[in-house]
Amino acid sequence: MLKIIFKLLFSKINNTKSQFFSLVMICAIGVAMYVGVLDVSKMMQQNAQAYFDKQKASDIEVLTPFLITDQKIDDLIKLDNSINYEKYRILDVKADYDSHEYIAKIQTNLHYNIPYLVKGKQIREDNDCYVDANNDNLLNKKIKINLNGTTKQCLVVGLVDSPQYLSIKYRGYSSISPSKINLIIYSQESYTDDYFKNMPLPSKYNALSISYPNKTSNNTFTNNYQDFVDKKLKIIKKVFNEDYLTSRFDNKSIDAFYIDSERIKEIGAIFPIIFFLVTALVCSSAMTRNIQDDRMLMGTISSMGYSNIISIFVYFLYAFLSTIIGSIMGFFIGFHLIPPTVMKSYSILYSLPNTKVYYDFDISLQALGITLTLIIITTLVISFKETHQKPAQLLRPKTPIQGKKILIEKINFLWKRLKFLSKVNLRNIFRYKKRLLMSILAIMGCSGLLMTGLGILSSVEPIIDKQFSDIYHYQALAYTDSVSKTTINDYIKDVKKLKNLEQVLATYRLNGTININNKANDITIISPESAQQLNKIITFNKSFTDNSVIVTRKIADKLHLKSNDNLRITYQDEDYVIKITGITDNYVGNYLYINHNQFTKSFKINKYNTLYLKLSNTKDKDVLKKLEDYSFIKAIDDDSFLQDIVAKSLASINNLVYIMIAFAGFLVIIVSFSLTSINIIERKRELATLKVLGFNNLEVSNYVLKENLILSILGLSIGLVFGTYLHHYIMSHIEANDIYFIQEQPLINYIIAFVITIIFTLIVNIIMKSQIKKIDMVESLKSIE
Amino acid sequence: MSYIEIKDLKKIYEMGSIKIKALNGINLNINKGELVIIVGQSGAGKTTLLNIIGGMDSASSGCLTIDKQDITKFNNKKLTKYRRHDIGFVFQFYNLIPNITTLENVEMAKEVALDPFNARKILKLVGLEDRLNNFPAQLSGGQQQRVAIARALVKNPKLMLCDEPTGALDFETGKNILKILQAMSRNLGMSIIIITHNHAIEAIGDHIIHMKDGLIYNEYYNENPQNIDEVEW
Ligand SMILES: Nc1ncnc2c1ncn2[C@@H]1O[C@H](COP(=O)(O)OP(=O)(O)OP(=O)(O)O)[C@@H](O)[C@H]1O
Ligand SMILES: [Mg+2]
Repeated sequence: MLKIIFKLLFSKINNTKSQFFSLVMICAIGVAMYVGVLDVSKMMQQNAQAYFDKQKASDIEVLTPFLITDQKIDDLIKLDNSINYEKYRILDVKADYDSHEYIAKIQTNLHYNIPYLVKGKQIREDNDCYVDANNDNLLNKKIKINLNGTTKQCLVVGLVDSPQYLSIKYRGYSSISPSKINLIIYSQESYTDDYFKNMPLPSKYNALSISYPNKTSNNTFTNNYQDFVDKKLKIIKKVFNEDYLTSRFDNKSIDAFYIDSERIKEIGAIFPIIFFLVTALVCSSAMTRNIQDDRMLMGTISSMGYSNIISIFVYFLYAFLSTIIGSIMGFFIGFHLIPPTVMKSYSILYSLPNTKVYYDFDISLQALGITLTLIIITTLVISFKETHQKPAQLLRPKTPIQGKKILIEKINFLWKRLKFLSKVNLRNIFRYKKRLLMSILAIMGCSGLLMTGLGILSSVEPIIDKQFSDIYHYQALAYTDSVSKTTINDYIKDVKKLKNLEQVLATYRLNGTININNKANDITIISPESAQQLNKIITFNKSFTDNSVIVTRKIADKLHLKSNDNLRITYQDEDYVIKITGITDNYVGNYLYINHNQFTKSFKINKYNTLYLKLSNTKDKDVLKKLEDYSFIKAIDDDSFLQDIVAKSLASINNLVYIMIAFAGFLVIIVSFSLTSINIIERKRELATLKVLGFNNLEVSNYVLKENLILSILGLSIGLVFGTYLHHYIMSHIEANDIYFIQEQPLINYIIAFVITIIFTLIVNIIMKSQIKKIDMVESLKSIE
Repeated sequence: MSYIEIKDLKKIYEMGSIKIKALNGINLNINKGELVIIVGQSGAGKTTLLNIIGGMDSASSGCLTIDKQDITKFNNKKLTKYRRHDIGFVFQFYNLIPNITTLENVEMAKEVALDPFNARKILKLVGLEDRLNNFPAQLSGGQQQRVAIARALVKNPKLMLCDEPTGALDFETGKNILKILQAMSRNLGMSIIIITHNHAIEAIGDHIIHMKDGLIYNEYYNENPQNIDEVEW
């Protein structure tokens, strides 16, 4: 019994090699897309987590302008004895090599946030040190480190990454210079002794790493972990109330990584599901076809006196086998192709050494489960239906579906005008309703996905230009202490003596939060000294006036705000309700621009702390360097820094989208190929008859392929609409984000999606033409005995 | 010179090491306007011969001249043209296009012909003037076969090839079909070849061929072919 089943199964597979193969392939790309894209963000986070675990990333860092005393640590242990900790030293210094000056940080941690050696040797000697990995030119070089007049040399023996500095870009600000930190030096504790010489004994540490061995969750990127750490922060605050406490999420680079990974998740959320459903649909229609095509086998089996169950079982195994093989291939392709490609593109922003592929069994089981269920149900239903017939019936070809008049024929004047063959084409299209629906759905799905992919690209691509050329016209921000109008004007007068400064505008800037769907979102509030001048620095949809309170688009969309609505902002644990007068386009960050009168009234602040700098010659940034020498300037933010990070992050999204578009294009080909070949196999007899009648190859091909083209165009048209909605849905539901994605599809996308789908259909048609040419009249028409 | 001249025509199928000689050297002449009946057991090679004559299949060796043209030398394009303009086929299982009406099936063939008849007239000739707008599935087997004949006829072919046209039909209906074919031959002077298992039908043919094992083993002419109505079986 089992023997006969396997014999039948293998002969069936052998006889339908190409169908089996295409079934496996379609299943594989569907599963690959599903597991691959849905897992990208998780795999990024898993890799980050593995890195944190391996390098023992601390849970909380304490940094103090004073010293970490043993007394304080004892106090903390009394409150919470579950902690592990390490005291270490961290210092802002200046370093130089080859007359290039670095704004640097030197730190001595050993047990937590262990530096990961990328290149070079371990530290051995007192004067050995590591620097962070993007400073290839410093390896094996001696650099000079300067602090408070003490200068020492150290030898860079290794290049390292650290979980503390996950982002290659964010290194924070220095306390001794307005520039951003651009070098991290890791040394032995003894090396820094000189700098601590004058500090009182016995404790000479100013930083503390805290780690909890028994966490409720080890996974940084879960709420569970965050809640845990929030609780611990409260405890630590009781002891270290004057110091800086940073959890992993206050770490700017881990936070940025988290946001990037969540953004990728939201962009790749629905696309793979639709993709997967289309492939499942095509698989089950191919399987249906496959069984119906094979009535002879069923007839033979049951006429030999075997139970129908055997043939049903053979089909079941056939479907099962193709799905399993396809899914396993899909898992490998999906997990190994998609997340690593995306992670690779993010490696220009984040240093995650040794990324690995983690298989996600949940997602895999989901994909396998859905595919298996769909295909097996189809298989069972169809094979039960077919085997229900008498063997003799089965041995004859299925009686063709009866011809019927179609609706258009009722519109007489139109119908009369059609060419004869067009009439036949039209009737054929509506002959097999199921096939019609299937084809239209499948092509709609593919072209819709193509449209969505292209849409995401055009939502992402122009952001940099729009934000940094069309909206922002300044090049840098300079931060000062909060000072009065007269003082800030003095500052401005002072700096204006420098060349190349076209405009300097005083503003007050503060960071608040707003609540969107119970989540705190950052918002930057900016109040200009002169409303009129702000318009030269930032382009608003409607000019900024002395009465303007303008919020940026993303916030307005999320909170459904209109002019004259109230916006609730939280700032330093207090709520402020502000009536807005307008909304303006903005793509990066969330801002509230508020006239100074209103600002003073609401926040009770009548001061300024930030200068917007607009350069005459934007290429020449020397002036920013010179500004560092002004004592009142605490920090300088070159806008190109932000622009660069956003551009790189968006480019990484694009890499994922390219993959999705490529898959969608591939799907168009496969689907159209499989539908066409089903169509041709199904109607072999009909086509052979036409050949006998003397129709030439072109005429015979047109007979079916025109139908195909019409179906494609129908499906495609619906697909374009579907894609527009799908794209809009995806883009407008992105939450974890301070980026506003453009929601509209440009016309060119419709044209591209249309042309690509049509071209692919035509290519498939050309391939199919040779298939039609090969149809053997004698074979196909052989009378059935 | 005869209308159709066949010389030492062979068709050999090679299946692995086994050679099946479907046609093992056929020599045959057929004149214009003849109604030819080919009779033989199953597997004799009748269909194979007919398919080669009709340009649907190619011979392994030998010559086949029709109207002074050797069609064994035709390429695919020429064969298509030959089928299109010169040949009308009728099959045992009709092979109508299921999704178009009687009239449309006939008009479909007309589309590609050089000098076609009027489709309605031909359908009247085969007695289907009342069923023009029916789909094949709405017709009986005999009616479907008549549509198939009309479809072959409408092209005004030089040669009609019918492979067991009555094989799937009952006695009366079969007779009806043969009557039409005989009338075609007599009234239009069309050359017709009919394959059958039924020796009784020999009586209506001008030229009778007996086949066995890929060879013609007997061949004769009827001086006075019978009217189909007179034949009983
Ligand atoms: N494609 C093929 N491959 C191998 N052998 C074939 C093929 N087609 C036909 N034959 C063989 O050629 C021989 C002649 O077949 P053909 O169909 O011409 O017989 P026939 O006289 O029409 O028989 P029937 O009356 O049963 O229709 C048979 O032995 C058949 O098995
Ligand atoms: Mg035969």
